[in-house]
Amino acid sequence: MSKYYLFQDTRTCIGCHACEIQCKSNKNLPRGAKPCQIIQVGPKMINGLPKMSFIFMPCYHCEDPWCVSTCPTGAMQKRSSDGIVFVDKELCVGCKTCISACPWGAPQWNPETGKVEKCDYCKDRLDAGLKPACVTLCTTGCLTFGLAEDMTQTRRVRHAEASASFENSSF
Amino acid sequence: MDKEVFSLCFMCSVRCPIKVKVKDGHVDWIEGNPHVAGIDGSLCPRGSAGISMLYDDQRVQSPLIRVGERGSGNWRKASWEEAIDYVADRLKDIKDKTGAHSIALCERAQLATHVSKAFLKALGSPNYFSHDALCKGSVNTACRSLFGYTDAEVGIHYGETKHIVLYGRNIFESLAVKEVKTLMAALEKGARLTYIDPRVTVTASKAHRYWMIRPGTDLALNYALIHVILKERLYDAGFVSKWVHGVNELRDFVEHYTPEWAEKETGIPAGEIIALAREISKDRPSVIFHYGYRGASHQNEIYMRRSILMLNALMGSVEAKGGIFFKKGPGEAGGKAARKLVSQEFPKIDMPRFDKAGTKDFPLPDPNHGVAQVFPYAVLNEDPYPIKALIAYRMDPLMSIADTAQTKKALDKLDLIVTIDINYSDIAWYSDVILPESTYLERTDCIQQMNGLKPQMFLRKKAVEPRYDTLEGAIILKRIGEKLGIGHYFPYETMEDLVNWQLEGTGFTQTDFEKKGFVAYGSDQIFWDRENLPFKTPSKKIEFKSSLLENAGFESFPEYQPVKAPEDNDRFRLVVGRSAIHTHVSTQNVPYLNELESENKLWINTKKAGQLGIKNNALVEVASSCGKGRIKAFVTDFIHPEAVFMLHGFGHEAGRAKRSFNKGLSDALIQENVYDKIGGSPAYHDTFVSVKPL
Amino acid sequence: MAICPVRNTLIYLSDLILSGSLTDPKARRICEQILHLTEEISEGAAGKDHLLAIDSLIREYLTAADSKKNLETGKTLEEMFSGHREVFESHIQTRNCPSHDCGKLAPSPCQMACPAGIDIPTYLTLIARGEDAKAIEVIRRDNPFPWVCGLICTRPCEMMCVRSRIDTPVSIKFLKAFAAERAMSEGAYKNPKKKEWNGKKVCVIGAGPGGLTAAYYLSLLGYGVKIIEALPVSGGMIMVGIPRYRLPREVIDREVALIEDLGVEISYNTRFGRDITYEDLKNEGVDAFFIAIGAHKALDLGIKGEKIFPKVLEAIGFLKDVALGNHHAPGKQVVVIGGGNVAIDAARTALRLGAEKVSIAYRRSKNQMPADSEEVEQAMEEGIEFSFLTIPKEILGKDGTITGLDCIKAELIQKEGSDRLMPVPIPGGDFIIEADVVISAIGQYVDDTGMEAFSQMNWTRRGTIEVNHASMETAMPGVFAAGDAVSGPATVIEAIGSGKRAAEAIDRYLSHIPQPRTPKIPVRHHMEPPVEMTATRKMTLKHPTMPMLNVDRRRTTFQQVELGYDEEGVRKEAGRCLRCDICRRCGKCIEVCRDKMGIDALQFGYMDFDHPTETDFRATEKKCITCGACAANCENKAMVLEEKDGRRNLKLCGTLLNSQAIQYCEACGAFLPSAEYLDFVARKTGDKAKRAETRLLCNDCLRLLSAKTNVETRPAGLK
Repeated sequence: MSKYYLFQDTRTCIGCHACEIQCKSNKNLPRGAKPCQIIQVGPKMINGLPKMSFIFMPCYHCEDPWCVSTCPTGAMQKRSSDGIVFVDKELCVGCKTCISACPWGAPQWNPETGKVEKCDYCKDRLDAGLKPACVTLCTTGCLTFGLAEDMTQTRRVRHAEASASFENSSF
Repeated sequence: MDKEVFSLCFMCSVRCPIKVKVKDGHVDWIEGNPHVAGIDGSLCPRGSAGISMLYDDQRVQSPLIRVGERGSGNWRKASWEEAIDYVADRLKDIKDKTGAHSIALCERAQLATHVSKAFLKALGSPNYFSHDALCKGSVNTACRSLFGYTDAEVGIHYGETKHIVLYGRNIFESLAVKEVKTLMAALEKGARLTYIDPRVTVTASKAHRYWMIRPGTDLALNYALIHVILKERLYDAGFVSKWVHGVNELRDFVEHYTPEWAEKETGIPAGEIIALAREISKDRPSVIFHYGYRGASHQNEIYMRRSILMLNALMGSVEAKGGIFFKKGPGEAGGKAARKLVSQEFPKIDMPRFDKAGTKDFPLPDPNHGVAQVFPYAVLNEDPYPIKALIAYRMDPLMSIADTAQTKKALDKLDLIVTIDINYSDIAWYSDVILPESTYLERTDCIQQMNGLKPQMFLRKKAVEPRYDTLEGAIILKRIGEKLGIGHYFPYETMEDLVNWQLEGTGFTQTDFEKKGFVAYGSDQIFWDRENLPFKTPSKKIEFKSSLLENAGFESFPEYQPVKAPEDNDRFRLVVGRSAIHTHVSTQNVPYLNELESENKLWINTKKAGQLGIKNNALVEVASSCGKGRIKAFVTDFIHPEAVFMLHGFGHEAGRAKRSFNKGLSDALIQENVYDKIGGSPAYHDTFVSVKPL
Repeated sequence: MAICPVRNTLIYLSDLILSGSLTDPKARRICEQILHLTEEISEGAAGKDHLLAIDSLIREYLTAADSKKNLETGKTLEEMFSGHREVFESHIQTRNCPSHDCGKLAPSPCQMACPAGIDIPTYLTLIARGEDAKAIEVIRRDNPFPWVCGLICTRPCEMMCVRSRIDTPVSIKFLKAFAAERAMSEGAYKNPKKKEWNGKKVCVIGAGPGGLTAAYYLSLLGYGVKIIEALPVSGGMIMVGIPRYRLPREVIDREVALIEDLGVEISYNTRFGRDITYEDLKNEGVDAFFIAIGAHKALDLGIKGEKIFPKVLEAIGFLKDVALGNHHAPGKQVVVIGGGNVAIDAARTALRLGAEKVSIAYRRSKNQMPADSEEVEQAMEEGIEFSFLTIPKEILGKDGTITGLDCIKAELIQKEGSDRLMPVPIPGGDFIIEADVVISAIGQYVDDTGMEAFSQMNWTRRGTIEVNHASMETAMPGVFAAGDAVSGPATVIEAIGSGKRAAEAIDRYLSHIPQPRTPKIPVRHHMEPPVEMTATRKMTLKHPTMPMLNVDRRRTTFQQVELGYDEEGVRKEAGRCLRCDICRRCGKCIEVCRDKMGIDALQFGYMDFDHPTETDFRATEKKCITCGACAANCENKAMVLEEKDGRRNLKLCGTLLNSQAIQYCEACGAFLPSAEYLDFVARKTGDKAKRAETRLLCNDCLRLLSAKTNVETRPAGLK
């Protein structure tokens, strides 16, 4: 894992897909490539109420990423300082092996450049002291970003609230 | 060359405050204005696609004059000089021959609306009409009938609500950032959400209570709720006795509208109706029955909207924290509003409006906005007089007014159609001249007066110079005006001049906007004293028994008419709505938004689809009395069997908007042009359609 | 800096946009639009309105320019497009970039080598597909004599054929002849539609290949054309210089007849300056003259005895007499002096007329002979004797009868300052070749008789007409010249090429359009999709051998010697073409596959011009995993990865290099890569890739699945 964690509060996510557009707009990507994506699960009736879940799917920046080990050209790399997995476009030849290797469908094909795009937590923004585009702009603010150790706290609190609540309005 | 500019988004009509970063003259980044509470940097999907809209080469790049048949898409490029001369010459001709009133201007209201209105007033035509009536004409009338205030003067205090009831108000999809964030925060604090809609939406999935109501029967539900509330004395007795006029008449009226009666009409169990009435009354006055927009949209809509507002009054949630409130203008904070061009002296206009709004023939709708859906009838029947020219400013009558075929027929009778827009809208495509407007990122605009609990002013500030040969709408109209000899009503050369003119006397200057993108008249929320509420009705109270209605010859409490079910197995009530991805009819061709949602589908209940042999994602034909078309089916359990649903705004006909051209189906093509003859809203949900597999 | 102005403009504009210096959005947008249009020009996707659109954008730019810098940029752009207008226009019209800077428009080496610039890969592809008439149509855009050239062209194209780096060059020449004959016999060999007569008239002097070519293109363009021919036949040297066993008269007549069908008028037995004068023609309303009189005068041997004996013949006159019907043997023992095609032709003709012994005396050795090697081989087969390193010294004989040719043996010595080996007599190496006829074939020159009327025309020191080679204009306005009359004795295809150039120049002259400054580049008319075949077939197709008339008949008759390939042979041979108009042999695919991917599946040695190694298209399938990186990096889409009928196919210009079965997503049925590819990925990820999910899923379904897993594995307690 990278030293960061990107937490999505599914309770406040409304599946508006703004994050997808914000990401693409920031990276100036053509039709097709979606470094992050909202996947809708449901609706499904749960206790008499229709429920949907919107799952935010960026790259998980694995500890030992298969995309990195499979990349024949060394274009796919893991940044040693913080564990961000990113692609060096200069080295990418478009063989798509990373796309096939990733079990989460994270690397994306850019049909205009014939190269791979992926979520890099907007590392240029991080380096400038900012948050990733999706987190900065999220419509409801359901995305939060920080160091993994801080974010686990958020998740625990969320979990506790959810467990303790007898009636919850969302997944 | 890098800079940051505070401005206002305009990917939809909400106009959220934004901050734009410009690098080398290029918009590099847009975020929600971080200084505005409730926005805090957020940007919705449409706002996020602003850059892709700005740099899209499929928008109108220069003035165009039609050379082929109307709608054939044959254009020649023209200079501004030539295009303005062309339009002005034709307008002058029409004015000389048939009078200024034969020129109409329709508009989706916006910051420069006072300019368009001033343009028509100076020209001597009463025929300004906006998209407002199509959206909320009856909401406006209902508000005036109860409070003496228009809907625009009423606000909703989401942040501190404890229970909100939404009637098809799909707040998490047809979304405004501040509204969503504030409501979401309230929900996080424990507020409850009741959602009523024949279709399961994202909002439904966030609700604590969801009722799949039989389409068209919201009014029956409300009468039953009122019945329970009055019967069980769940209302705010103090507030009602002090401020409500006609509660006894209401009590008598709802006597026989029991929850059991409503169960048969709406399909919602009587026990649940009673439960909501009891539950919500515990939280009063911090409760909201949301009164608009969309949702059930029928020929008796005025009474449905009134019933919702009555529920608020019964809960005492009027001018209450967590309820609904009246918006406060600068005057309330000891300030002065920005000037508008319409405040000038204009020649008197004797002719009636084309829609007769405000006359005894059509007394209640707000003449300030007009009644758009009457336009095709007025043109076709030359009633009250022939209309010869239409200027369509950012509004598309072809896709917004029901029954496109009829609207087209009406347009064919016109001698001149001019469109001012940034896009190749369908009306632009059907026009004689297109005058392209600069996008919101490329223009400074008129002052946004934000009335509310804290009155403020916002400014849309040009972030970059125009990319194409486009102008600001207020400059376009001024230039046409100059050629028509009414230039003196437009005392500015540039938008900066106009803004300065507007700010004169307010105590603020443009520089004051630079720091945070807005100026505030005060710092505290202003709530009126509930002991001294200044209702503007004749009785100075909330008029359940409405003098507005009764003076015009309408009942305050007409008997409920049962809602017809579709007659045949293949027939359905057509219901329409919005998604989070698109704004009405205007964003379908924006690259990033088109990628996410390029066409609409017809939602149809699984059982019904099974009976008709309709498979998910297969093409079906949808037909009504006025039109038909093809669309893909979306087969789902999550829609009421009597209804089919489609998103509004697809099925574009403008060939140069290549991504959206001919994708999906336009609801306006099959909706019948019927409307609420009292309140003024179109009855978008009163068309029955037959659906068959292809 | 590239050479091509189109490419340079592209680079300038992209740099300009990327630099961020275009801070005015309108300026930037206009530059982006110009860039886009220029890209289309450089890719051959532009139409006739592109330059007009660019002009108007530049005008808009200059009008909107609000700063000095912007104004300068606008001026620079204006200069780029106006200064190199012709290059932009030729990119649009010809879809060709002669400098090869615009990769998609680079002509193939064979086309570049052809003096007439014929679009060879296109017509070879058409022939391979059996579309002979279409092939003829393509050829005739640049050469009205596909059949003639198909039999006798000196084929510089084959010299450049890239296929020869793999095995042998494609037999480009003969395929034309086959297609022409086939199209002719099917009645499908037709003239294109000509333009209405434009009221102007051109006189062509000489009905040889150059003159006829110019006449053909001029009449298509709507000109009235009159040809003045001194001989009683048309064709010039191809009729009277090339013997019938190489080029049957019918072939010439048929192709000339097609030119006459266009309304071209040929006056035979009419010598310019004698039978008709400049003034006569001017009075007839001739607006321009085209001189294509060839080089019909033989050079003297300059040795003793040359002027004494009547049986000392000039090859050119001898061949002409034979062509015009004199089939008497010149003598019993014939010796021909010279080493070019004319010498061989004269010798083989003498043999066919009944000479008992024919020999050729040549100053240098066999390797230095300018004649076609096939011709030399065939002559040897027919029994012609060759005496190399032989310098004629004197013609011997008495009473007007020749008895022999006195010669000196020579050796080849490289002289200082010269690349060519020079023959130097070996002292005491005299010998005599017995002969009763001596035919000299050491070269021709231009016969300028009658040309005095063109008084302002200049002549070179070599006695040829001086012209501007881009436009074939002489110094005299309205007078153009081409062919051997300009170049000295050269090839048919050069005469055709220059005739075509002259026709275009005359058209420009009479339309008052300035002449081009540089010679026109070959025109690629369109990009025919390549012929599809397997790698094995592409590799194993072998150059067929030319069936020949048996030697006995060759010694005695004028029957055609080369009998031609059969149809199957022709179609196969055309299929050997590598389509160098699509694949530029940049080698990027090899580099990506070998150096970047580490797979090294592409064995295309022929692509390396300097160090060609073995080429085997069949080798690809052994290692290739159909990852498609080669295709993704191929600028010209020569390498393509397609998914079709359940297979992933890798193709290079239509040659199927590898084909692997597509895997399918087990959830939604979407295409996935091949098993070989997924194995490669699995090997790379090693034992880490022990997936929880054993099903084969596509990217989208993986995302969906992990989203669902995410929902299901959320902490309990949620309703």
